[in-house]
Amino acid sequence: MYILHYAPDTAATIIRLVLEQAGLPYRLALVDKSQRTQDSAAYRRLNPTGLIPVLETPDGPIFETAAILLWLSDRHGLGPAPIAPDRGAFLKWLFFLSNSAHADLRQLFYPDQYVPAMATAGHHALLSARMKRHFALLNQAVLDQPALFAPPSVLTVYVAVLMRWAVLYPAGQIQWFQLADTPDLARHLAALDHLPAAGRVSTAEDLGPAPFSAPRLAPLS
Amino acid sequence: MYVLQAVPDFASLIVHLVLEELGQPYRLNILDFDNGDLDSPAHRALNPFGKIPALQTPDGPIFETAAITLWLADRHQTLAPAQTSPDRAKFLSWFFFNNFSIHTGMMNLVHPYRAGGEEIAVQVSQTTRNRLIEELAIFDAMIANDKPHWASTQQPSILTYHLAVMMRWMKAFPYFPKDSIDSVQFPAIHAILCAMESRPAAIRAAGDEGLTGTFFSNPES
Repeated sequence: MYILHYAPDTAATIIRLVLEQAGLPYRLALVDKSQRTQDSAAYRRLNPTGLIPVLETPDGPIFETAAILLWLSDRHGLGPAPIAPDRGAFLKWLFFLSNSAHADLRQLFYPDQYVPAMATAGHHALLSARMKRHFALLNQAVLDQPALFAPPSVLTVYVAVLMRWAVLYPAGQIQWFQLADTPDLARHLAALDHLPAAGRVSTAEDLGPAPFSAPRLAPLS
Repeated sequence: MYVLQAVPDFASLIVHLVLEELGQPYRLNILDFDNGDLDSPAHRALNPFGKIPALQTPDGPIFETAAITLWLADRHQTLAPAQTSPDRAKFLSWFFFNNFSIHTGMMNLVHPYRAGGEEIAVQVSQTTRNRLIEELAIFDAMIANDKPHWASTQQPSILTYHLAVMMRWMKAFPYFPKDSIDSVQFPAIHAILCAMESRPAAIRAAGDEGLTGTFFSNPES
């Protein structure tokens, strides 16, 4: 039994979708961000960096979204195995999603952690331009390597959540990305929305009836 | 036979070190960065981003430095815990942490103007440095306390090769020399760097790229 340390509509949602879709037994442990539970000694023992999510496994805790995805993929055969011919392509897109797309999106959403307040606008312009290039490359990858990205590929679940956030955040700022910019990815997002597993996660985390193809913000609780 | 698209002391250095440590046959295809070789159609065909490195393999080209090194480690069953090892979960967590956080921070330290222009580069560099020092301290404490075999002075891993090159660049190439980060303040990491730069394979690969002496633990800028 896995234990997913999560908060709604965070990177933990990516892992939850994969667990749910694969039918793997897990239970949830809520990380209360309003209480900064991720900074508690107990949480830091699981993940010294304090980031969400952590997945507790029989082999100990794993953190870093892409590390968890790769570990689950290898353990449960959810993606190309190490000897498969398309393993290299799978890894390159997984790392690209992590260290380019996800890392840049994080900088875009939390500018105060990276630049002084007076520079937020310029930072937003540079980072959003970079993100648009990342999504364009991913859209091309979907055309070039359809098998790797066919839902419910872990790559597509990962990119779907990043795209959801790109449409919604930073909340209250100028819309910098729309799904029509990447039509081939958008088709996959619509397919994900129809998976019963996605519906269950969306209901549980209040992500709306079509969390990927028509994202909306969760109502304030 | 592997063929590595390389520019001396670029990210291809990490793959070069790993290939030499593996003892597998390979050759380097040295590209001239200043001559625009990275934008040539031949290189773009291997790597649509025009980035370094790309590795040609019997299964086709792979890009993304960490994707390449993890692919090599899995394919040759060395330099990383195997897919079925109980150590794999923790190894992957820190391997991806190094890519998501340390690598991203290193890029901002070396190119602080990319986050929002020249006028705020000083602040970006300082903020980045503070953040990197916190993250490296967490990394160093984990190594000192847990003594994982994949981050030790006794044997190299793909993770320690990545980390060693990150530490080299953070010491030698910050945009603002005053923001240089010295590995000495992270004793467990520093000890690993000292051990790795005396390995014959590392000396050969680094030497091919013009690096000598304490090229990881105390590189010349």
